[in-house]
Amino acid sequence: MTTVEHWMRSSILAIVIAATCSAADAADVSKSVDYNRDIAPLLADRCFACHGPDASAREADLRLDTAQGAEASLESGVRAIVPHDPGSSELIARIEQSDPNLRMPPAEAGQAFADEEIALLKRWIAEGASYRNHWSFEPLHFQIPEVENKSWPASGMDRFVLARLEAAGLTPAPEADRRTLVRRAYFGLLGLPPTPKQVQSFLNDTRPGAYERLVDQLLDLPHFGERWGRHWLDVARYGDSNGGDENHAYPHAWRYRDYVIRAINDDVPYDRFVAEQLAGDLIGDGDFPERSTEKLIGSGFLAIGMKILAEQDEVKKRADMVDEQLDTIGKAFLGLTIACARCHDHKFDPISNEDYYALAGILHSTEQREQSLETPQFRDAKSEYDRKVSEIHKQLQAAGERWASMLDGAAPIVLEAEAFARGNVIVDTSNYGKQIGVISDPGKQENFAEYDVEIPFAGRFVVELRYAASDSRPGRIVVDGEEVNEQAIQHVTGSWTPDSQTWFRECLVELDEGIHTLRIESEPYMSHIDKLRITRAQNTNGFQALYNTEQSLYASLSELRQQRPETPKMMAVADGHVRNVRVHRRGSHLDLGEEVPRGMLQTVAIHAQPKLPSDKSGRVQLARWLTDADEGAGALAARVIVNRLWQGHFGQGLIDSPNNMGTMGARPTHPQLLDYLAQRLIDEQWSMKRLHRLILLSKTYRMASVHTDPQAQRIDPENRLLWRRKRQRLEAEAIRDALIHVTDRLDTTIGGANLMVTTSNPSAADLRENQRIYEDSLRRTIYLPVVRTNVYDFLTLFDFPNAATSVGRRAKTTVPTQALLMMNNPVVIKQAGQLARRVMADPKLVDDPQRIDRLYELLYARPPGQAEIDSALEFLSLYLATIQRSTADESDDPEAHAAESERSESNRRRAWTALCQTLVMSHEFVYIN
Amino acid sequence: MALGFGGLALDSLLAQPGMTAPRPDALPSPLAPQQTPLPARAKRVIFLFMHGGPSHIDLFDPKPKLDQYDGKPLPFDGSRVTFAQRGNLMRSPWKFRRYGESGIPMSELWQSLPEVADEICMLHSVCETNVAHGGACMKLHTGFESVVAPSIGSWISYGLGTENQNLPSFITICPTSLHGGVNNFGNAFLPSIHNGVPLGTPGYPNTLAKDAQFKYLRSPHATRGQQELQLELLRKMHRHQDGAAVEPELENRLKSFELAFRMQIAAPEATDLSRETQATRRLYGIDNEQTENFGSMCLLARRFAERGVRFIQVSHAHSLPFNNEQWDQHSHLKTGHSINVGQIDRPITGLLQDLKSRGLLDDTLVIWGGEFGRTPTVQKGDGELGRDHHPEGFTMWMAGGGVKRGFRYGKTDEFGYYAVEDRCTIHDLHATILYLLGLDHTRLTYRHAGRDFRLTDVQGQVAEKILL
Repeated sequence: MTTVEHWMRSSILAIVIAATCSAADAADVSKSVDYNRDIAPLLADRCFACHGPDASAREADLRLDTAQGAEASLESGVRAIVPHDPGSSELIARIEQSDPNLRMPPAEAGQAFADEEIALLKRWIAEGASYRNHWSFEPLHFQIPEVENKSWPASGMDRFVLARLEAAGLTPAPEADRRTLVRRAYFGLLGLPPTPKQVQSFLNDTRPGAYERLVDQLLDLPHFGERWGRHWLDVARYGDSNGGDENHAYPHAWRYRDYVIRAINDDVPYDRFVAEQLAGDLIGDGDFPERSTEKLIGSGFLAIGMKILAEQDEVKKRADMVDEQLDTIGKAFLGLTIACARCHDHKFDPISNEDYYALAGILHSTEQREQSLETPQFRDAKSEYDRKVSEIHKQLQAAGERWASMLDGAAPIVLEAEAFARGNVIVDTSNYGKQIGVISDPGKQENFAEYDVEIPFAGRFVVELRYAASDSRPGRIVVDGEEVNEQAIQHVTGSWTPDSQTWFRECLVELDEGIHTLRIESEPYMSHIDKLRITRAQNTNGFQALYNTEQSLYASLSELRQQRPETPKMMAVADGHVRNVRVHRRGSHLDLGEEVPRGMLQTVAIHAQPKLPSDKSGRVQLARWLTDADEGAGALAARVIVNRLWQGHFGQGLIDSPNNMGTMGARPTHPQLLDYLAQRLIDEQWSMKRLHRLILLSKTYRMASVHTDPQAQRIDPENRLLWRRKRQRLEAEAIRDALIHVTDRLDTTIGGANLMVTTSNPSAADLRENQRIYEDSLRRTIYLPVVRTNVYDFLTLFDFPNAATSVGRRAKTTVPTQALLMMNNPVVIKQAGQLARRVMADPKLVDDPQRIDRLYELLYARPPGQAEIDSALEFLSLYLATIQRSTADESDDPEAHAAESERSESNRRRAWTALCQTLVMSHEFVYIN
Repeated sequence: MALGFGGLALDSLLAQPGMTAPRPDALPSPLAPQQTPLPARAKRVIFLFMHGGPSHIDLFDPKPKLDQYDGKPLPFDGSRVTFAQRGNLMRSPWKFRRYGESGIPMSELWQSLPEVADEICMLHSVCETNVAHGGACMKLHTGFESVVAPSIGSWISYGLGTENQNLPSFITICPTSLHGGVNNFGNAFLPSIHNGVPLGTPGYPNTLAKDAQFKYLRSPHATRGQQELQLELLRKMHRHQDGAAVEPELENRLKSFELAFRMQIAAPEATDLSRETQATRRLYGIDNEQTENFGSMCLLARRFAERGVRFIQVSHAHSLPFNNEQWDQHSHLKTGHSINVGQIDRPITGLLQDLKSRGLLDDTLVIWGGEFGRTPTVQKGDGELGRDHHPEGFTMWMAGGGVKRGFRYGKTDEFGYYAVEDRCTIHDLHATILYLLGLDHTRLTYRHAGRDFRLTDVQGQVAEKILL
């Protein structure tokens, strides 16, 4: 018995109460009217805007989203709904009204009800007008159904699907062939096509369990995290710049991206994953001591959103950022549009204006900040660096002691640099020279400062300068008109500021008694010089050697400084000034209402509100509440993530609106299946990999997509019942990755800092340069920066999401601009050329049919049919003819003849490039069967 | 014909502008022209966007009171939130005159525009709140200032489709990459087919008209004949593929390649200004160095309008060497505005005259304006004087497309500070534009994130007084 089967048994025993349901999900196929399935969508769409949860917008004091409201006596004495009596229900009277002035909904507000919709409403009222809580706010509920074809299901999951098909009189498509399966699994789990070798190795594995082994192997590859991490990044609205009004880079956002990839690969339990992203800075390590650094990076989730940075009204700016965070949290974790309650009670869902500001208080108590990230690698590099620096400092100190013994202990002559007799430099006492006074340049020029120094007796003197410099600004020292050091003032001290002012020995000079002129020169800039010191030397033996030693030590130090490991930074959050906020009436920060204590949603929370600490923002409690399946919103959160996984594997979710499971969202096609999977996720300690495995090993996943069934086509043309596999267009990333991968040039490095592209105020030239950087990159697409307002057009043309908000489901458009891109984009053409080169240079391929065969294996994981080979061969010869026609006209040159064979080879390559390009333009390359 | 294109000769593949009948091989397009719910007074829009904030009180909205109060403080409370430090009131350095039969006032900066004064409908009472370029630009283009929402051109494309399936429905000519950048012509949550297509890479400075091209419209290597061969192979592969023939999605995909092929022919024809006469080029100021760039952009706009493009934006932004701050004259108002007006005066006058003589002005709505105006007060700072950003009351104008000619709508107070009569917010402006196109701004909705979004959010009133 495999682990899965074993698990299945225990879980069925544990969960299922009484699986007596005969055919299928009762709720799915029942003919009696169901409020959530049949009625709520109608009322929400046409009525709730004026007769729903929002008290401030309510008309005629009538509320239709609760039984109490709908059955109450209205001012006119009538009742909108009289249970069991449609004839006395004013609701029916008004929607059937012939007078347009009285008919509901009003003509300008919405579409009138259709006859069958009215009939449904009447039946619902006749059956008692029972209201139920919105389905997604209910506890998980399911029964694994019985099925007739007992041999088909691989697991409980398949039984839900089969039961629906059987109830509709349909049968599932047969299993896809193994080539299709292997291509499907590679793209589905890794976002990459299998190589011909990988396909062959799967085909050659004829032992039982080959497919299970393939799935396990793929789930363990780091590319799995890249594929499924990117799915999460859509939801997390990941971007590398603020991208609203202006476009400033988020240079450290990529750490969050890599965090997501690692978390998915490490199968971090989903509840933990949620907690790290909302409160990674606050939660303990718990069972995850190895994630003490990771969890901090995870909190970047709250910081990477779109921001309007030039907003001049700081209070509004803050409120907008909080709104952006709340909007994302609501959609990503709860599938709820919380931000709709910013200005008023939610029009459709039971989320009040107060609920919004209870949550907003938590985020107003949280600050976004760039933080240092002490990774172990950084700590090692830093301590190695510190060791080297201190080694040099030790040697410098030793040199300093030797200087001391060489210099006369008697008073040196010390001059303030700013006390120059003549000069064109500026004196700074407030900024770089704060409290000490320094000289420097006023801008580019030939700088100099001269000092008249009185020497009391003849001798040899050491001249020293004290200065600070962040970059080297070398100059010279001239005494009495004679250059005595042409490489002076050249060291770097680490800053321009007084804290790094350092004494440097500059030269040894022989001076008579009397007044001497000491001159410092440098151009075009000058270090920040504080003092000069002239000291008589007692014993000048070894001066030069010591001077040289010291100079070389300084040189090493400055070289070392350039390699100083930079402290890694991350975008993260931390608790700030903890406070409750007041209701912003109509969303305006200028019109404040009552203060609302920080807290969770009142209605979606199934049980008690968690108690929030008064000195903390409450994000820990928020995260816990979100994934608490017993006392909090965990059931909903589990449904939301399970649906995302399903959608990722099947191309459409069990519910079509993954970011909206509220009243206005879509209905689930298989509600009990959704709940069953949600429960399994919870029971499996929120392990997403186990759920992936369950799905991949199901019969449902393995169905063929190329399958015709006229009856199924007629009954269920959209395939909502899953009678066959949906053919899926690859996402932008997978198209680009596959394109580079089939030429064997994909750089499969995992993670790392972004490519550097220009974000703020880009010129057209900058954007062309950015484009070149994107086009030259051979990294996987997930590693290309997402510059919010300038996303690489290859990606946006293939429906890469707008990272301004959380995106639950990408559009899948088919538009001519995509065709133009495939026809004329330089990357496509370049990769086609590489592909042509690859098959033309392969010595194992002896003729054109073999080369074509190889291309089909590389691109489609299958060999071509004879007709396909013939079409390709015909294309090559026709294409070659067009090239020869055009080049024949230009070849009067005698040398051209000699280059004939070379040209013919290049013509052949052009034709093959065109063939390769056409093959990647084809449906089959960009679709997964 | 061996190199045939689905049996159709190339010429016949070029759908004619204005042709709306479905063609047998046409892609069932989300851009097919739609019936308008209300009578359409305009069929298309040309939006002349003046990036940076042109000074209403120095161009179109004369305030004699400013002469009297020059150098004195504003006698009432100013804005709560300001962009820069503001000083006392400052008179306009330019004199005003009234022009045309309608007596529309314009400052002496305008040399050509007075010729078409009687075509113009001034909106003197546009009023907003956002004092920063980014937020204000997003509000002007999308109706929202703190979230990314679809551009007005995308909404109109979504609502009306377009009359020429071989060109994009929404083209933005030489856009800027600043202050909202692509958000200002983005489709946001609307289907991506409604995205504004830039002619010329968006940039700072923006691409010059002479260098502006659509992307990916020409193969760097293959000839048209060679691309036809590729298409033919694609078609064969489509037929070979299992089940593809009965998959509408794959059928559509094949058609999208055929349409792309046609677009490669239509677009270069539309942008080829060499086909215009000398007289036309002169009319737009293309013969003059100062006006050549913006004149070419205006002429391109007319060519797109003629060919049935639904929404065309022309941006006067950072195009020329001096003009690295567009209309944003925080200082040196005099030089800056003189240069800016000098660059656009002849071209926009020519555009209105040309549209009129071709009979296009009646159903083309031309809109002129920036993201805000400029303060009646001087901006504190060194050097030549300038004015700060001013959203609380400023002037835009319209012409053609069903609006009154030679008409002045709304008023600012006697200092040009607050809009005081017939106040017109950006939502109102948008509601009016949609109305002129035959769309009801309360009904043009798109469901996104559980909510029916509108260009005008939950506001917007049509400025009925300006309707013809």
